[in-house]
Amino acid sequence: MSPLPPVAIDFVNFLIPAGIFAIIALGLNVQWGHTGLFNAGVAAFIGLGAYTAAILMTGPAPATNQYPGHLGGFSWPFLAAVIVAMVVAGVAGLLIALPILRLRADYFAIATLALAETVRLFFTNAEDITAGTIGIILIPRPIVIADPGLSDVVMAGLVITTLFLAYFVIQYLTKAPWGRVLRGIREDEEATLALGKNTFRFRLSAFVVGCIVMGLAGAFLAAFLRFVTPTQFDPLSTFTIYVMVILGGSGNNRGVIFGAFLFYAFDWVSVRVKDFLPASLQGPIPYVRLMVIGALLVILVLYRPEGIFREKKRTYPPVVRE
Amino acid sequence: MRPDVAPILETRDIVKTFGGIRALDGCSLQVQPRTISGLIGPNGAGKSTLFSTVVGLYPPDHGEVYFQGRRIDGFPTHQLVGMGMVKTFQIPRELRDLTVLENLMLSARGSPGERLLSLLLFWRKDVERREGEVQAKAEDLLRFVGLFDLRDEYAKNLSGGQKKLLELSRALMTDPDLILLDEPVAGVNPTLSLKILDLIEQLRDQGKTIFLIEHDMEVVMNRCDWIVVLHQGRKLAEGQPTQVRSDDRVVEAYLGA
Amino acid sequence: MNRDLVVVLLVIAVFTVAMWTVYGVPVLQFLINGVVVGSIIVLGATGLSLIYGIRKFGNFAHGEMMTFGAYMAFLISVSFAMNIIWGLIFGVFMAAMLGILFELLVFRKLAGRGPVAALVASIGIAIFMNNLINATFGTQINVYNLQIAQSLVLLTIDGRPVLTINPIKGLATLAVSAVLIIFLHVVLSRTTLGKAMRATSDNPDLARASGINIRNVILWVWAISGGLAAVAGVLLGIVNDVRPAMGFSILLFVFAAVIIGGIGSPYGAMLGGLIVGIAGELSVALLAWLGRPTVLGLDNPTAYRPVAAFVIMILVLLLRPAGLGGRRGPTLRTRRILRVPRWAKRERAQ
Repeated sequence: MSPLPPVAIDFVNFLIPAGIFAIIALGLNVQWGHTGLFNAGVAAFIGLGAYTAAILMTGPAPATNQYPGHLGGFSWPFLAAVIVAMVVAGVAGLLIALPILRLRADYFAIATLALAETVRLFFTNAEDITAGTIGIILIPRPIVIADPGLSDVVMAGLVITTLFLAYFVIQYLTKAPWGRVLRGIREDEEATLALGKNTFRFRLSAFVVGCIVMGLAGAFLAAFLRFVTPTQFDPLSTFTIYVMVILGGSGNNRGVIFGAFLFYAFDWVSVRVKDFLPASLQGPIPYVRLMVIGALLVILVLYRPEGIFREKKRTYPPVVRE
Repeated sequence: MRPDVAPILETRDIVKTFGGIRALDGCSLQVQPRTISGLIGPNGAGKSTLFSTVVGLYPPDHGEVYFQGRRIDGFPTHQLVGMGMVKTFQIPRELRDLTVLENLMLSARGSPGERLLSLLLFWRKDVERREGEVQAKAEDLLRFVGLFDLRDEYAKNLSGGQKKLLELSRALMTDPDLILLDEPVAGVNPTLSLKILDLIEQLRDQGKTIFLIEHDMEVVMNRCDWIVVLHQGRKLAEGQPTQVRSDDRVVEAYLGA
Repeated sequence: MNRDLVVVLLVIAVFTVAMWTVYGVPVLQFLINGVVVGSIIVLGATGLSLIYGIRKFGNFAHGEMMTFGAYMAFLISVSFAMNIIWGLIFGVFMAAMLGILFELLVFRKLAGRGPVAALVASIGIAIFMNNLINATFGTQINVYNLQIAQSLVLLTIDGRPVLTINPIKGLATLAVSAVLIIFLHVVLSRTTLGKAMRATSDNPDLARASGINIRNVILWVWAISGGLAAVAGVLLGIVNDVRPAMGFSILLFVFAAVIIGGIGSPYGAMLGGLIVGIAGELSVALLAWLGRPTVLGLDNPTAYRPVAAFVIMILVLLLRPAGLGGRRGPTLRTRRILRVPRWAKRERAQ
């Protein structure tokens, strides 16, 4: 088995996280792009999926002098772990949304942010379960292959396949009458209610669907990085996804996938550019990248809130009459 | 009126208070089926509040509402639409970034495609068939009101009068027995007004009941079968247009308001 | 007094008495700490509340405003080796200017677009500012050039100090906060600017029609809000050292305080700030009393301290079901949850 050329390795290492972000963006697109739900706790749902998968897939990890240990020893296969991760994220979404979904969009955002931070506190402090700040390590890849390069390629294939599947399912759902009601709710919830739709149920289902997708992505994240820590799921991660969604075009499924890839490409390039800069300028680079995120958010909101790809107008070919 | 026929809508002693002001102060009235009934009264009489209370946007503080003989006060709005009662908004609330056709298709009742379970468990035949029916009905309605050519236009791009038509057609898509129209021709040009009013008469002839709020006295007098006058949150008078017009109490209420 | 407010104060009182029976006088230390922390949150919350009042959105960048003020003061205090008071003044001035800049560059343009657009923009600004500070000052912990005196012992039992308060970190913080609150109250109730601010917040169209220059009033509000944030930041820097995440670490508490006290009401925010501070400390006491259960990491009683504030915030948000999302007209004015005591109401127009 010959080693892969470095370019291929680089590309694959770009594809995997970009694909995972694209899946998350699809989930957020259902919540925010289609329904107008400002979920500021995206990171928590990704984290729940990631930690669930990590706990299920790893071997036993008792506490030692150097390592706090975590709940584990199940050694489940990846597919089973992914399904449970999705369920956990979905149930969490349901429980979190039930009390707070009636709030107006900006209060909903603050409430979800507070709840997400609580989840993160749990990740950080419940050491017996999550190994605290050190996190869960030694997570196996979905398909264990000795050659690391090939393992990455296989992983990339899995991620992209899943991305396609997620895209098709979500496209189908959002093109259907269900998606139409969601967009109606986004436009004017009271009017949609007055037309006979139980808007609470629709918003709830949209929220849960989005959370399930985020849990899915979280499981992949755990399998890709092979370790999970609480700091991976801070509010900044949430807002990074928002940049991807808004940049690509909220409401447009293909657009947000593009937004995720585009943005991650910028990220990826900026990390590599650092190596070419003189040492004095290298320090601030990670912060410059984040400053760009912040500035992009402001500029997008001010001048191009619809993003690169506008939401498509949906037309229906005339009905065939006998 | 025909006292032997049960009223399609009845309120008994409705009280609704907003921050110290009794918008509805013991309002009791009836609407007979298959009529165009008008609700009039000076500003602040509580007309829009009555509509909103009846349709479930606010629960009444006191009193009962009956629709087709069933007690419905406190029922959520979406459930009432399912039972056959719908209300339009005084200022049209079009779903702006959806097309005209989508606005109507959304309004249809009972689409299995709105249920996630139906969508995911591959009952696609049902979903597609119903979508086709809904689309056909929406297109027919659009032709009826003359908006068919604008069906793929974003609702936000319609003119004011066209939005009013859209508002009305959306309500009709829900297949209602009782339609509550809040000022259906306010601010609409005379030609379009006529069209809307003729439409309303057609609907009544088809068996629907229309209960409308209007300030334009000509419209009310010429088109309504029955008029209820509201004043200070209570029913002041009711009767046929000619009776109401010459009722001293009504004249006084309008002059004094 | 408002009924909900009475309930909350009763709960706190009952809880404190319950803890007293278990721990005795040391429980008061929690209250003291809670009030000190709370007074910093109060300063942040009143500033945030002012922005809610005139621009009708939650300014997520408010935390970074506090961080900015703290770092500006740090510049003066350490780099220029001057008295911290000069640092404070400089920080206030710079933050006020920054607030005006935000309004002119961003928020004026977002005026008609609803609370969500402004919130997202403020998030972008917050991320930008936070990382600008990281890039410029580095991520290490900094300390002001300030002598922290020994804590004063307020009460001893059997020769052991039981209640203490630090003259700088505790008393000075309380004093500065109190002075600023009184100052704000005077401005709001007795000056022309204050009345204009209240009028603009209540009903901008009416205010404009009465001849008030809305645009200038709004700029003043941003300046005052920035100034208050800067002072809060400096105080936080004194109590907890100057670090880049300081503003964000307190931001959610500040939001909780504003929501608990009532959006758009500066006086409510003051109350909310104290409640948040005290509730946080009392939750530590509660966990300690529960015997430090070792599950979920609850044996570290300060670990979940934010949760108390969050729970109260969400309960408050739910007690008044905010109705459906989206367009609802002048919503913020009706968002009062714990109503202001009558002495603070003054001529609040109906």
